[in-house]
Amino acid sequence: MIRTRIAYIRLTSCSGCQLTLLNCEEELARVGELFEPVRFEMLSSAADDGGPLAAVLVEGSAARPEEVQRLLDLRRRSRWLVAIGACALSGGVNRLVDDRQGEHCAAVYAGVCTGRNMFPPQSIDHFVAVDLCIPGCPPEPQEILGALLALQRGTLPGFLREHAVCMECRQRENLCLLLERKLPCLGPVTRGGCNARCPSIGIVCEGCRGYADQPAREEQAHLLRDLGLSERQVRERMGRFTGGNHETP
Amino acid sequence: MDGFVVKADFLPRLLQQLQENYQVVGPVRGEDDVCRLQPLDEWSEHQEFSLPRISVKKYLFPPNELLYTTKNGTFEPPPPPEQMAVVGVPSCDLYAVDFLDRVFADDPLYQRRRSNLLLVGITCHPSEDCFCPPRDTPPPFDLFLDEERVFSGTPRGDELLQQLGDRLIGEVEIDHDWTCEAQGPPLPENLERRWAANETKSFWEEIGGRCLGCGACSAVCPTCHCFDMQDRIDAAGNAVRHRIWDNCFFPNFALVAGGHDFHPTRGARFRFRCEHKLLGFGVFRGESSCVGCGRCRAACPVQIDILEALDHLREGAIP
Ligand code: SF4
Ligand code: SF4
Ligand code: SF4
Ligand code: SF4
Repeated sequence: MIRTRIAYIRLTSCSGCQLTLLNCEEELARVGELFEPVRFEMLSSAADDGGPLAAVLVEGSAARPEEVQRLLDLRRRSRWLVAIGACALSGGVNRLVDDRQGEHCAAVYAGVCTGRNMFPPQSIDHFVAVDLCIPGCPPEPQEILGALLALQRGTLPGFLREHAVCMECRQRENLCLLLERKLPCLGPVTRGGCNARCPSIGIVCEGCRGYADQPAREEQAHLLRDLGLSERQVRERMGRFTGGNHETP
Repeated sequence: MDGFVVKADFLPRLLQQLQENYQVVGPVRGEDDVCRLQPLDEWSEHQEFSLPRISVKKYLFPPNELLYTTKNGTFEPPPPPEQMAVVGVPSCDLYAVDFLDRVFADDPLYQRRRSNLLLVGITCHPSEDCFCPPRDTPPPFDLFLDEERVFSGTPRGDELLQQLGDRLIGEVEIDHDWTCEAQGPPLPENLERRWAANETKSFWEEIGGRCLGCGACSAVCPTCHCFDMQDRIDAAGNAVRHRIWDNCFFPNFALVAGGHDFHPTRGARFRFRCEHKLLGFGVFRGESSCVGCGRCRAACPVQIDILEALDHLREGAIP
């Protein structure tokens, strides 16, 4: 059987997304049978042969010119480009950086980072066409695996949810933390597919999967203000994973 | 339909009897104070009546239902459903089952579940959110518990009462008033004309301006029945198709090829939901499928209320 050629690259990120995939121990053997990791540093030490790819999976935001170059190279080689995780989709928590990025870098990393050319972290769709987005910080393992299995069959997956977390939360008959506990849950504007992982254990949705399709941002912000959050708190809460903490929703 | 006065231990005995042949579920209030339908081991769990978050619909039309798996080019249907008995179903949810029975009349998977489901109704204690419409015919049930009386509605119910004959005291007339004490306002007269006259009114957009589009209202409704299909490949390489609940508040619900959206705003989506609930579509036009359980009103994080829409229609001018 000819294995499907894929690459997985990481830009500015924490590696949490690829660890999510690599932790799927039960399924990994099967993934290995179906896919050839042409370039996947954490999984394989094989050298990239530079040939064409069925798919490249990209984790992380772009924050350095070399990263953009890598992204463009792989885009040219690949039929599909899949953005994985909040950093790649919206800039993610990397966007929390303020306009004194250079100063902080020099203070924390001193000599190590001098001469590095950096710009404020960006979502990858600023530079390349993205065929598929798998949201989450990190994404759900079954979403990454399911997407890979669909790509292997020559198609994009149709099961990724774009609507709000509340649907799955209600289906699980959870206590509504927003309505019944007056807690600042972001479920109504956050993209579902996690089976309401956090509200189901009594933790408010922090919005790690980014915005749902057509989110009611103003209405949600209004609701949070009604719960007593300040303008700044609303901005920070809604912007944490959506790359928008500098704007008012 | 037969009715009997029952002895005090009828309920625990009924449960024991049911447990011989059925998986028995009923409303259980959890530590978080939320009531859900769950497996019932003994009667004490069946605390004082309260409406479960999601009705018995979750067993008849599960939120995520396997339709089939393909293996080497052949279709494998899902395994047959278990025999299940749901105890303590209030009449609003029973009327909702009647509606779903007709919506899914030609759906073999639904019908297979339905014929394996035994319904034990109960007189409800209405909450402040309920607004049942007036009723003059009984809802579907196998047995219905009305305080110290029990009614049987099917041969299956008759059989159970025969088995529990020593727990029955004497036959009674069935004079039950099927209109719930939490009776809501009747639907306004000339609803169809009022509806048509309201199409362009800013009322819907005003409500849409508050709505979060979270979909909670349809998710908890006992008569909502929209679904979508989802295909996945499993690790073994089989194609697996599921039917999952859909929702008219989802942005892609009325999106069609070419990018046209029949309900482009949340206001239009809310209006559509009200139209489906209050006026119905297709062969159901003219029949309200809102059973008045009040779940949507209670679940909405921004207090959007279907009764507000009804009031608006009632007060609006008709041409
Ligand atoms: S707890 Fe949060 S996610 Fe769940 S229904 Fe309420 S608002 Fe939605
Ligand atoms: S529309 Fe609301 S009140 Fe009516 S049946 Fe549905 S959830 Fe209950
Ligand atoms: S269209 Fe909306 S209101 Fe009607 S059944 Fe579907 S989800 Fe419920
Ligand atoms: S529950 Fe309320 S906010 Fe959510 S979709 Fe329904 S009407 Fe809109």
